[in-house]
Amino acid sequence: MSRVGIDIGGSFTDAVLIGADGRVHVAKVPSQPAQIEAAFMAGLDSLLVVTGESAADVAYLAHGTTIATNAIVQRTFAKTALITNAGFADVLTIGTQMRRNVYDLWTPEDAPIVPRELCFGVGGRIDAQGLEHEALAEDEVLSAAEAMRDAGVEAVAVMTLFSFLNPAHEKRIAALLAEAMPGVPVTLSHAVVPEFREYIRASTAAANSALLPLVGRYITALENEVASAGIVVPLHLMQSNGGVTPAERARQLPIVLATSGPAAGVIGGARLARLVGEEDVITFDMGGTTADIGIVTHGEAEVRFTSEAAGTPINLPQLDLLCIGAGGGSIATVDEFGALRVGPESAGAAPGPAAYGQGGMFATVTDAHVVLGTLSENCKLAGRLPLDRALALDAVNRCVALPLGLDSEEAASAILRIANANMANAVRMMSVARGQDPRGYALVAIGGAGPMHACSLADEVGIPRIVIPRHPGVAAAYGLLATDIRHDLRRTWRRQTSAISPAELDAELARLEDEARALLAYSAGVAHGESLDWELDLRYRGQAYNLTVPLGARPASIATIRAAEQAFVDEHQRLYDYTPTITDTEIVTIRLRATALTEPIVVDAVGGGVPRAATQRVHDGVWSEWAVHHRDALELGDTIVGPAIIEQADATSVLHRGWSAIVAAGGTLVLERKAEA
Amino acid sequence: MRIEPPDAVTQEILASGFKHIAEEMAVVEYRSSYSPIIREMLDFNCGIFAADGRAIANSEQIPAQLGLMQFALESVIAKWSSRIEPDDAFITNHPYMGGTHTPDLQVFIPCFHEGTLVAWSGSIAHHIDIGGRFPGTESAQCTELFQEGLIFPAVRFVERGQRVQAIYDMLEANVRDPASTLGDLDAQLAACKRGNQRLAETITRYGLPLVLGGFEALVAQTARRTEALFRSWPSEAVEAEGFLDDHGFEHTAPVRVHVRLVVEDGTLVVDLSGCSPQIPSGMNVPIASAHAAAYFAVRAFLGGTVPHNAGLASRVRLIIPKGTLYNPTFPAALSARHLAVQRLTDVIIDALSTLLPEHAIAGSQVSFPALVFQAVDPRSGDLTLLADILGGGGGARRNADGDDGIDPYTSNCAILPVEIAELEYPWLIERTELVEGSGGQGRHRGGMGIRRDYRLLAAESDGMFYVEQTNPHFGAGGREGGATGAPGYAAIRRAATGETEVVHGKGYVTLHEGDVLILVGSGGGGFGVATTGS
Repeated sequence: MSRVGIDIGGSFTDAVLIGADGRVHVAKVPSQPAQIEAAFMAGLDSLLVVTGESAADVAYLAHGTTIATNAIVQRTFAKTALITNAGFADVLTIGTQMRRNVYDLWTPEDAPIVPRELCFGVGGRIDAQGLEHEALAEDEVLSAAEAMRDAGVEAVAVMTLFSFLNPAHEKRIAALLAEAMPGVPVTLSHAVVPEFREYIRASTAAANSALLPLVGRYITALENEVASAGIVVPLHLMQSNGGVTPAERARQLPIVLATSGPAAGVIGGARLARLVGEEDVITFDMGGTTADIGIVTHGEAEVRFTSEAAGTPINLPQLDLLCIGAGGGSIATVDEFGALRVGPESAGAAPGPAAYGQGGMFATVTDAHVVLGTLSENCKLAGRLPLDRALALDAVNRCVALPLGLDSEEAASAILRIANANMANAVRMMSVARGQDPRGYALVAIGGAGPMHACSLADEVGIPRIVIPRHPGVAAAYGLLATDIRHDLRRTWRRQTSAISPAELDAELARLEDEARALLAYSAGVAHGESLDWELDLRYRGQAYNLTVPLGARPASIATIRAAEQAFVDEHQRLYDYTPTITDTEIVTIRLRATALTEPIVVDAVGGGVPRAATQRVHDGVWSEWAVHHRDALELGDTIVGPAIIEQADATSVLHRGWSAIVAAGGTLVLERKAEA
Repeated sequence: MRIEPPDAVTQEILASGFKHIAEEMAVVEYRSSYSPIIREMLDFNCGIFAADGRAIANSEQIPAQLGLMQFALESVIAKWSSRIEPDDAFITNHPYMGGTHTPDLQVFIPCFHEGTLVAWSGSIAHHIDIGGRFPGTESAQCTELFQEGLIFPAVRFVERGQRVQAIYDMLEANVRDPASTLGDLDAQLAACKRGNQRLAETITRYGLPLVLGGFEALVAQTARRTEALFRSWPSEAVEAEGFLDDHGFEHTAPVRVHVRLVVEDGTLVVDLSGCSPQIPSGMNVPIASAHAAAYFAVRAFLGGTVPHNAGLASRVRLIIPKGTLYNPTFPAALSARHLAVQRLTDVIIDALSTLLPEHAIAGSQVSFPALVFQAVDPRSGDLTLLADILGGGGGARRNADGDDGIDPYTSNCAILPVEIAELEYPWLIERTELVEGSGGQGRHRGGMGIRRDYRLLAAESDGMFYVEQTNPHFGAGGREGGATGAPGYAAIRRAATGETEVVHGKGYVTLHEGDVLILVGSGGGGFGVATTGS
């Protein structure tokens, strides 16, 4: 029985199959934006052909998709309407009333997902105690429905004030809409975000609604294809929170897919590092345009609760990662005042770096590597054109060396130093700014360009150890298989911590647990055990920013509440270096992470390739000959002393002077800084 | 101290590192802050400074707080000079010692390296109340500084790591919401300590001479960049004027704001000699805040490539005669300075639009509706201070409408969420909506203002509110034939009579249960002549 993960990106679809024997098979096929399901099936087929397995042998199928991400970026939303309280129909247009870039007076703010003419206010109010203050004006709901029908609305979001305390009006509106406009999907804000702050609840519901028709159609089409191919297990999809969710849930809550791509990289990197015993890692996923930095402590990736999509805030748990514009295609420029910048503009895949010979005129990070010899003209990367050093040299000279008065190698080194410094700042923002010391972490280098920059980045921030997975270029597809099924539930529950009744709290936990059990039932066929992890958002009374801390297992008791409060005090001290004058705390939100565990993965992916004894000339201050190794030829226990280059189809690893690498479990390269001689 | 100039690449890396330190300080401050002005409205800023007080890097939360901390730090340095010790911390808010208005507490801590003062970390934050005559401290109705709460004239409140308890005790006893004030002060100190830690790490990594060289190079590079851009501008002098509705009291005369701009020898001279003399109300502007307004407008027109530090400041010269609106004489009141700051920004942008017509933009609203009311919440028995700020219309552009419902220019405060207003304060928000037709007409229309109605649920509440730009003659200006935006206003509906009465735009009132305060922000100016029929 095998497990299959298929990750569809913008250019390529990566498919990974892990057999019962732990052998990993990887396939890469071009994505087909016009017909996404076709690439999915092509990836699946090519794996089954290689392994000789049949569709019926597939015991688990997980999928990463950018369909929601792309719809958000390109704003290809369904025609969506909003129903809210009378007097508040402008909630999405007003938003926070803040401007994105205060110094840019000339660029208009992003338009809301729902245009103003499709926002409807209806009479009725629930008050801050959750009591009905004014009855719902049902006739106004019906006339709004009529206007929506006339306008050809395809999806509806409903947000009424204090629905997180009392959803009666939202539910009644949904019932009226179901009658008045059957078949039009509806998102109720309390069901998506059961927390206070009306604007972010409305904007999250609106974004979810706007994706419902598109994602719903996609999932249905995919399920049909998969079923007709003979696969019997339920489809699971990667979410922004780093776990997968059954297709049925994603169909109702497509917004959870919004940032699933980078999340899969973090989880994939973290789980692959676990193969060599690393539980505290900083994931460094560098591709052509961006670098994503994530942090995983004791095996748990950090989660944050607010983010942004299409210029509007989204309140849903997602893996906390920092994305900066630093990739292989990032462009280096020198302005008229002699300041060198690298990124965020990228040459992308077309025309790409100058060295690709597709007409790229700008010097990029990749061109700098070509000039310095770390990427050789002989290096053949999957799906990439041959590299032309003369073109790279010309671009680096013209764009950087000449204006700065440097020689070619100095200019290329300068490009890499700036790119590395930008990424080092991002690593510090994800670690030291969050109270974590990066020196206690391993750096997991993934993505096509991550393993090329890992040594420099680790040196810059003082990280002593680097992990490069066996297939760094497809770590996200691996993450699909390595992660678990995960549902994040929460509820606003504001109480002074000192005044809580454990029985009252436990009744609230029981309600969340019931919700979670219903969701876990979807995955009953593929789960290998479950876990329920409780958390509380706490803050010092009067603060607005919460910290999330663990709460012990049910039933809630004075002891578990006290322990959570103590964890909060300790965490606050750790993050901010002080304990405030006023020490009362309050609970804001209860959270439940319900996990259905997938089968643990055994990986055996060493050796088999043909050794290739080679060297190439590389510049790292001086020109010298560096050893070149082929990744497919390395055997468990092999040791490589830097400087060296390690090539493979999906990425090139650069091992600097002062570093050495050993081939460890699963073919993973573990790099350590050598002790000073 | 030895200074080593970094090479160009190291300089870029150091400069982005300095900026990063300021941003990390801001994260610490924001996440551990208390009062809604900081946590919901982000009315604060963090920065690092050279040993002599020159600004090096800032976190840039709100432009109104940007570019003015160096004035206060200069006062700290001048007062304490050789007596500054490691682990000291200083607090200042004195408007006549480089401060802004009294609710803005500025905290500075020195960074020492091997016994020598090498840099500073600083934080400025708008506290919800610092005592004085009115809840929330700031009011146009104040007539002298002494009504505007506690004054800290560059005071050392932490001595070699030990809190000076007497200062904390007095602070706690003199403000209306001591929990928020003390909590926010803790957050400011934590942010500054984080700044110093990161500075120390940078010095360890690069060595002190190179870090100091990085300070100098950044300032010099910014000055060069600013100068070159100014030299590319037309050299003619331009002027613009605008008016505040009145002195802050009903039936007083409009207040003139006038600017004359000219680039002279690579420096932009901002001459405010044509402004009104100082006025007998809380709407005067401390000199530091006048600079913040000018820096904002100028940076916007410089096009976003110039960071804020002492290098920019060295190329913008303000002329402000003593005893006038933007340089008042002690002890003139100035707690409600923001109204005249926004109007000054608007007038400078008007002048710059004339100087650089390809970047011309219609006026944004400067009505800045705001309120602070104290009331006992019947649900908890606690005294609460509700504060809120409303947006209005942005100015239309040559190619696009103005933004609806924004807090423009040097301000960028969030509107208070309805659910927080009703959960934490004894108020019901009856409506929050855009005002149809409030944007000035034109080929592109100005943005719409926001109206919000606050109904009191407690027995009684007193507080101050203001809405500037209520005079239709002083609405947000249109450009190239675009119409002026509609003015804002304040109104009160008394429960006892059920009647709504438009009231003077700046007031201090007592409300009773069921009374409704209505605040309305003005609309933005239109751009270009409206085509008929549209």
